[in-house]
Amino acid sequence: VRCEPVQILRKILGFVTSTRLAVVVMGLVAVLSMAGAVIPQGRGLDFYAGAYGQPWASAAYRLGLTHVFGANYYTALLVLLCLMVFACALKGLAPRMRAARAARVVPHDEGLRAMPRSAVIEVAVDAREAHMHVADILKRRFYLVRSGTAEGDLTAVGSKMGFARYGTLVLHLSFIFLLAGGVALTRLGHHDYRQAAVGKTFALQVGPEKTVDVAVENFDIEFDEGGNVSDYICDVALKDGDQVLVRRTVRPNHPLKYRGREIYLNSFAQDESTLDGVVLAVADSTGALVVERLGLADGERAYVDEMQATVTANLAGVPRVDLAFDDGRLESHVVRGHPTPTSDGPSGYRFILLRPVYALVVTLEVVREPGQWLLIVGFILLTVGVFSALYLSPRVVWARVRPAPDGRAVVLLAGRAARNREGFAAEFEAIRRALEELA
Amino acid sequence: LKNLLDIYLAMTAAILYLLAAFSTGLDAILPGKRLGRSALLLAVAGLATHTVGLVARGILAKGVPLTDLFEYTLFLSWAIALAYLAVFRKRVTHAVTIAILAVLFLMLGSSLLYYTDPAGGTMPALRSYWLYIHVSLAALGETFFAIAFVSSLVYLIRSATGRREGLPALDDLTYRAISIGFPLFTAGALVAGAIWAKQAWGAYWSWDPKEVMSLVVWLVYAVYLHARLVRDLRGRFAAAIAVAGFVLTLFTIFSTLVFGGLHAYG
Repeated sequence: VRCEPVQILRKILGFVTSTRLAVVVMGLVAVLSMAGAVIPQGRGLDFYAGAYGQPWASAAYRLGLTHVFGANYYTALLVLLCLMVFACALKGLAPRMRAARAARVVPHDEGLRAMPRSAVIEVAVDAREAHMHVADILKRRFYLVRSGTAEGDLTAVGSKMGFARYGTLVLHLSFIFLLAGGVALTRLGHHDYRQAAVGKTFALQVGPEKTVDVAVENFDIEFDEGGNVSDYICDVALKDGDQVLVRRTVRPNHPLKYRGREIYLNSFAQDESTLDGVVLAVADSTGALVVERLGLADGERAYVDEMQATVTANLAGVPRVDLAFDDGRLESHVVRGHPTPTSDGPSGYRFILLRPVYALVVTLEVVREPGQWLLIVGFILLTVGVFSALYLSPRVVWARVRPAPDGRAVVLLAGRAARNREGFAAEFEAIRRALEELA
Repeated sequence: LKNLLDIYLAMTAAILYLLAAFSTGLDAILPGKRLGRSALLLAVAGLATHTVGLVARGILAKGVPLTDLFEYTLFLSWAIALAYLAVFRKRVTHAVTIAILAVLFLMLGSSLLYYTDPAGGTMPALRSYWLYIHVSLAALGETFFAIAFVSSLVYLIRSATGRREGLPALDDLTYRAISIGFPLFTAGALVAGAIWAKQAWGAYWSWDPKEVMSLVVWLVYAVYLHARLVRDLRGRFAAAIAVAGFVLTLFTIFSTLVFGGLHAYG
């Protein structure tokens, strides 16, 4: 049997665009994705052996279920899905265009009568006026009307939501854009995490030969009435030498954007190697607390220095800490072991260390993701495609108007809708009644 | 009492829904005793109490109650009750009504297990208008998936027991519910979720367990709609897909309890 290349191509296209294959591939993607969600991804074999036992861990590791989303077979499935969608979009394009062209031609009488909705209406006006009324009634119902003549009849074609014919095509196109965007972001995107304390800077490359300094100028944590962290904000400046290019407060949901780079406030942490201050309680010589909490930052340390205090830790788990000051600089000395008795200062006040305050460092995430527009277009097409494929229904109404012997006119009216046929039937009835009122 | 007003009202609503389910069951067994009307009144009273509970939670939490699993369950079950009473009540049978009310009772009852103190505050990452778009649209989508689940479940039970009357209507209800829920879920869970993820975490997609499970749910309903629109798939297989879809939806909602991840707060 001789197979023409066109036939082979058609067979391949038929296979690739078959509903059965689509369901199987989508099902496989779903099952593998579930496995990827249930099994923690990207850990070492020891972790899986501890969690599931050696035989299951080995099996999962060999099958690639421990790194599903980076596995070649998962990527291959996504690529296959993309190809299928592309083929489906191509396959559906020509028939849709043909259908759109065909809808512009008014069928013959038999064709009109064979439509899902049809009616023959005699009206008490002449053909020209009846034709005008038909067009007017359709326009009032937001139909796009094309008037003309055919075989001696005056004709009108009203179409509404014709673009919805391409709804599934738009939906298919959205997958292609989303997958292409995903590939672009994965291959070309870059995420970099940089830690910096307040007052520090780091270099950020913003072009082939262009580097700017990112200065962390301030960091602050805001608390609500209940003492919960309500926000954390970081003042960041991008500088080119001494020139400030942009200065902005970066906080969760509010990144800084500059020349294709985005800077996010990822997290903050305490740098336990840098003591930034202490929180003290102050007791008088009788042991009564004079001040319950006294936060002392850099500038306030001299006060403590003047009092020549010895600060003693009294928190469980925190060893005794003697703090001494030298030229305004805090020197801390942590004594491991049993706390020693507290010694009073000359003023009779005793300072009790409640907790040390360490310097905060922020982690900024620097992101560069070229090709984001592919995703944005994909999102728009996906939303439009889903809504139009499910809700919008292309509707066409055809009319042939011909003169009757008594100077009146006969209107042959027909129409059809791709979806929501009940809704269209009601609308068709309303159009018919409006025409009958002319009688 | 004031600080626990939300949970008291939620539990009262759960009990009212349960009573409405019993009343509906009795109405099916003893027709003509006006028990259907009592059931409707109980369900409406349940929804009213539920609404007050939701508002109370919002006042106590000083924000729209959509920020954690308890609040999400409260909102989702409220939306299901509202959709049932406002849209689907006249279209559904006794069996579907009982199943919906039972789902509401179970959802509200189980929410006790993960109740959170409303004074806990909203974490900084959730302080965005995208919260309302993403979470509310996803929840509304899941609301209609729940309706589809109940009608499909009743379809499967009736089909298995040989009671074939009303099956096409149940099939139609499933399709209508999914065709409403799917676009809402697409726009809310996937599109708005990805855009907000980019704004909050710097990446549209992070293969987070909840993200992946949402994609799986979307794929399952996409398969249902694809098969229905292209092949006119109906019957038991279609109903089974709809049931599986909602089981996976529940798994997605509660997956954070097990897997944590970026959505660990809810």
